Amino acid sequence: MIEVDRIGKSFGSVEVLKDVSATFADGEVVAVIGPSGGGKSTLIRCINGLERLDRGDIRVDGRSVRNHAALKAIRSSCAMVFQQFNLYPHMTVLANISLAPTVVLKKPRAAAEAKARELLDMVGLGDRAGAYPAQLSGGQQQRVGICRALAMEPRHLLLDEVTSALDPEMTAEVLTVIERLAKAGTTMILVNHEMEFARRVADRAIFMEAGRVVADQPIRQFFGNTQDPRIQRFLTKMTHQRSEADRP
Amino acid sequence: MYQNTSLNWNDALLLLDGLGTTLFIFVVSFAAGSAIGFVLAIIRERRVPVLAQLAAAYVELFRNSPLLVQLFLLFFGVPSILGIHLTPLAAGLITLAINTGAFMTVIIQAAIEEVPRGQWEAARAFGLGYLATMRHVILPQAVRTMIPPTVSLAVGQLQVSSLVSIVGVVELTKIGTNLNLRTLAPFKIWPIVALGYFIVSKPLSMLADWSEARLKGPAERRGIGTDRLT
Repeated sequence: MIEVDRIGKSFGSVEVLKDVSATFADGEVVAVIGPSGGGKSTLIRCINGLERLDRGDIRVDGRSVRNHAALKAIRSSCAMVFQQFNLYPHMTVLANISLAPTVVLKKPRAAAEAKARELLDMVGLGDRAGAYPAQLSGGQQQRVGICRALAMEPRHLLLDEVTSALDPEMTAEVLTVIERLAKAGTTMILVNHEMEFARRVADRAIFMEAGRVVADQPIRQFFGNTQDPRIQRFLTKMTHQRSEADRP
Repeated sequence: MYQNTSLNWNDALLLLDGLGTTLFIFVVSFAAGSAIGFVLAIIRERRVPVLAQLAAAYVELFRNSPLLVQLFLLFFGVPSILGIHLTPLAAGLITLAINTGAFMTVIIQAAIEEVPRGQWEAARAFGLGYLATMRHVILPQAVRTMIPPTVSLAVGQLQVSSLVSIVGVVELTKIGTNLNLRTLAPFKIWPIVALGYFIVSKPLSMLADWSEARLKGPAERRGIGTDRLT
């Protein structure tokens, strides 16, 4: 369980998060949605301590991110997938995935690599274990990024606009993997721009704009009958006036 | 009658001995300088209060003054103040190490800072500590950037190491000076001395080219035919 408790964060004079609160339960898939610059990415980067909080607190399974000693435990329970993949370019795919498990979790190398191969098989990249990131397409790199996160056997998965740097075809291959994880009950916080996808996999939507949480609703309600004009405007823009009939 | 203008086997041994001393001075001072550079680069990169500023002052001071002046300062100046005596070799080694350290600090710091921020974040986000991140993720990438400037520096430092002959260190240049005084055959002596430096310097840059090509390997292979996409 992740509890975000009235957090505030500024970059210089720009206030990116203003008094944001939210709770993420185990097994829940939450989509964080909203216009660019609304603070979505900053929110999830605060959860694993990549950004320091100015105000408020975040507790991950009871541990505060403000407690420096707890940060390592928090980080190994909240694995992150990045927009720009951020794979280690000097390591093979296999080494990318098994680095943190061996160094942080002290797993024996053989076990970490066996797990890595298993994950690669799951995302359809079983034959690319020895490749370097530069030899893979963007979609393949991001699937490796997902494996790298899953190798930590995290309680929570933080996905930071993981398909924004990909073209539609590659986006589809990555989303397929994420959807499978969601169905398997992985706790996920996913910041993204794929409205259709959010509606399909998420249990709940948090809509953020200008550093505030504007709405925090079950997904059906969010897409179905929201009254807030800001959300309606955003959804209209993002879904390109898709008709009611398409909805599941 | 007292001048022996021809070179004999004994002179050849002297020159070899001088080359050995030059090599020793170069290797020891460059290793020590690299160690200094590494520590200071980390201090600068982490912005350790006070120490980072001191490191910056040291770097500026030693990069922007002549090595010979630094050598005189250490060999003549420091003993006169502290009352300790330094042998020429010790003074030469220390000066070269400190001088190399200033340049290496800049090279290593720049290489570390050139590694994209996302690499730090990816490692830290998975719970790797500072040292583990450095060791597994940052340094292996920074080394690639470091090789070319480090080699130019090394080649340069090998050559300026000849300056320590001025305070009386008996290395290759000093042997050359002595033989030149005796033989009065500068066109015979100095090319031999130059060759001595060349045979150390050339393999150094060859080693650099080789290791650079080797380290580039995986990334360079990108986009080549069969390996690409399915």
